[in-house]
Amino acid sequence: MIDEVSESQSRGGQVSARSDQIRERILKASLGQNKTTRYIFLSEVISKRVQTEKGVTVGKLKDLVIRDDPHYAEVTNIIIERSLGRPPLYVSWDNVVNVTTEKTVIREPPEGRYPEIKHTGDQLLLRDKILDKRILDIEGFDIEVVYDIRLLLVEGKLFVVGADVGRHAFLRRLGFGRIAKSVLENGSKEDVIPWRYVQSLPADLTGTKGDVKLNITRQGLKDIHPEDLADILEELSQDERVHLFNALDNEVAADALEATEPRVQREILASTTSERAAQIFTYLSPVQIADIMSVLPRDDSEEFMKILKRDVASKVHQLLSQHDVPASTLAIRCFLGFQGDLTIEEAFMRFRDEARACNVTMYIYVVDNEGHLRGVIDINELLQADPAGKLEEIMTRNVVTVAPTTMRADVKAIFRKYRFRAIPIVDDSKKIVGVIREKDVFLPE
Amino acid sequence: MRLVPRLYYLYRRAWKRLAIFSAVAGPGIIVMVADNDAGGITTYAVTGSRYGFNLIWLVIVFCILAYFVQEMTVRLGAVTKRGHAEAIFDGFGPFWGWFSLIDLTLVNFLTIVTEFIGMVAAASIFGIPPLVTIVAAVIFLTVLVASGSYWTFERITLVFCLLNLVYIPAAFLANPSWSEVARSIVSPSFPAGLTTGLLTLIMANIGTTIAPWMLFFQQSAVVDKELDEKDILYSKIDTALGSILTGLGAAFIMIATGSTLHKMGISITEASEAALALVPFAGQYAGALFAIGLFDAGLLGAICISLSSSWAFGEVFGWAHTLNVKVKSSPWFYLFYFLNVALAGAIVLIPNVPFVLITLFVQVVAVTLLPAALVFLILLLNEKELMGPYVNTKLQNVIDWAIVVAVIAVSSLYGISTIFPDLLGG
Repeated sequence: MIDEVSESQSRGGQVSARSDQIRERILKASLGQNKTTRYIFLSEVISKRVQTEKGVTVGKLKDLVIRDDPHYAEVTNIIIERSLGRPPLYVSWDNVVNVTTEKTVIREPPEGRYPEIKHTGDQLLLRDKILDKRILDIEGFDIEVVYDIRLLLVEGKLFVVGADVGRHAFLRRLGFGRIAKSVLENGSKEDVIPWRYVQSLPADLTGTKGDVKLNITRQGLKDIHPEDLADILEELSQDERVHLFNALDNEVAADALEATEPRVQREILASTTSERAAQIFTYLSPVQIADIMSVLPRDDSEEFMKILKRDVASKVHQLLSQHDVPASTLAIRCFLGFQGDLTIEEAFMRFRDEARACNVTMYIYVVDNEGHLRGVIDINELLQADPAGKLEEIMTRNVVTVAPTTMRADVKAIFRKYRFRAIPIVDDSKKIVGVIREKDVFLPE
Repeated sequence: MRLVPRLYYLYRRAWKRLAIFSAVAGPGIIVMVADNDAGGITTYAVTGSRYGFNLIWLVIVFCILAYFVQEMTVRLGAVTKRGHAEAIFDGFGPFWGWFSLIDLTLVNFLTIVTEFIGMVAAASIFGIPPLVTIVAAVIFLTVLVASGSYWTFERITLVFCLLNLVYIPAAFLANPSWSEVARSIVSPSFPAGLTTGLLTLIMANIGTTIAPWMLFFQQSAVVDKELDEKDILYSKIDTALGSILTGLGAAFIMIATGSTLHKMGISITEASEAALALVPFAGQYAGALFAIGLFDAGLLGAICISLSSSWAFGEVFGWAHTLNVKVKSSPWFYLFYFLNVALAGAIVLIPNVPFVLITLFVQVVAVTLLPAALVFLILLLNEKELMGPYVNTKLQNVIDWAIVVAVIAVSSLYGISTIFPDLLGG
């Protein structure tokens, strides 16, 4: 428990003062300082009878409603299922006296009936929307099932601690709770995914379609490697996939899209608006776009061709229609071309400004005023060099280049020989016109 | 996803869906099974006794038609939260509104009379006198709706729907040749060509499969149950399940009578005759089951048809028209229901009432109402502003219009042929 709290603090960004207090209490609880605190499993209290303090049975506990605070969600009211088709009863948590695995006790209704409770958008039904739903384990890239939900009763308030995906909870749900207790240790903490990592797909938690939850915060989604995201996208169903994809930044989405298998690319693009697709495509090279286009149905690819910029579209078209293409088609126009008299330190500054918008950042090309290529610097060399020195002092003068007309097959051979990650393309007058990347030449066939 | 969690997840999801379905289900099953009312049972029994298994395939076709028609009322009700009568008033003005309402009330009332006739005939097989049957039925029908809860009405009525399945054991007792049954379903055919008698029977079958009250009933029931747009899918499944049940009922009636009466060349005109005629061939239990089924059918029909009248009247007159209110809070709604049931029962007790004439009249009035109701229904379902995403799709429109045109053509022919029996004979 202590580990969990500190871990979530170190990972998270801003934490409100209120949830700090709550965490403190939980911390105390785990150290046994607060006697009024205990854990409750949702599965153990749900469907148990609900009685008033005088012992009159009202119905069965149907669900717990929480306010979805991403840090620690608090139960705001309970839903009681009643027999003979009477509508379910909503009772505020303030009127709940006690919750045990035997029964839930509520106060007598004030003035004969419980005050009406209005549902707001940020409320969430625990059993209906979370229990028995799937949760995608971002670390293991596997889908788990939320077998149970761990709650914590602190000074009369009930909080959601996390989603239990462990074997212990599984056995408990199958009715082998006793066996589970004797065979396994009592639910290790690794089995519980902290609530702040339980992220619903889509963002709208009350939505009916959000069958998969992610155990990661939305911020965290950005930090996942695109290849891993691609694996995750492949694991999901079509609906869920679209929701996750829509939640991604364009740049991340572009990388993830490129890395998924053709079938998934097809399905994702089929349900992406053309505006979004256009934005995503700006992060991809013509080769990558052509690669994706080649797996789309003809109608769709023609549709997407329309939204591309004209020069990109013509290249993509060329790539799709011709067996071999010249280097100019594969060229990337955005590269770092610096003057030779820049100091290393100045180069660093410019690198910081320009590299973000650029596709080729592993090499710096040294050029003169007219754009003639004079040399190349590996970013590694730049980092190791003396900050006061000039670029031309450390650059490699003997640069391997290709002509715009060099065909892809030949470019491949050059890459194989030298093992560069990118090669500049120069015209007859040695002017640099673009850069060709290794990954655009060697496509996954 | 590993196998065990996957299985567990699928199992839980299936359970949850089943739970949601069982909560949403009701209107569809009830309306479809109640469609096999006393008149329906008679039609199927007569069809089976005359043509054996040959027309079973038609029943299957009709059930599919009924599904597509009723499915529209589900969407309309769930989206607009209004009953059919209200929808017609709002959409097509008071003339068509009153026309539909008065037509519906008349047809419904006369149909309830035929339900009572069926119940009386079925009960008399067990030696129960008509007066007892009718008084008991009226009391039961009144108490059923007076609980002040739609849920109670629905769940009890669903039990009666299950009783409709008694035709299955009845058919088994008749010991039919199943290979023959299967053959007749797989290779549809019209025996001995399209004769007038056959055509009349086919029309009668359509007439009992798609009836005006069904549209009004299911839409009002969906509204009374407070079903929502998110329930539409399950409600459609409910309707589909209902149409399968009603198809099973109809098919097994034909199997029961087809494998006995048809083989022996016994001709009948009433379902109660079928029950009696079954006894020598399939044993007294088969006959008894048949009679129970007939009584159940009459009862179900009476409940649903009188409710559809009451709901429609309540909608138009602005009475509280829901079963979820107590009798005291909505006296007119319940009184109208009670009068429908009680008066229909009373008419049956009058000696020498010309029932043949009543039946004839019902058919004719129904023929004038059904086209209007169906056309209104499709027009409403094509209103984009009203239906939103649940508006009719192209495919649905093609199917629905085809059904409507066919039903209108056939039911008009049927109506004409009942008034002028010689016309088609030529």
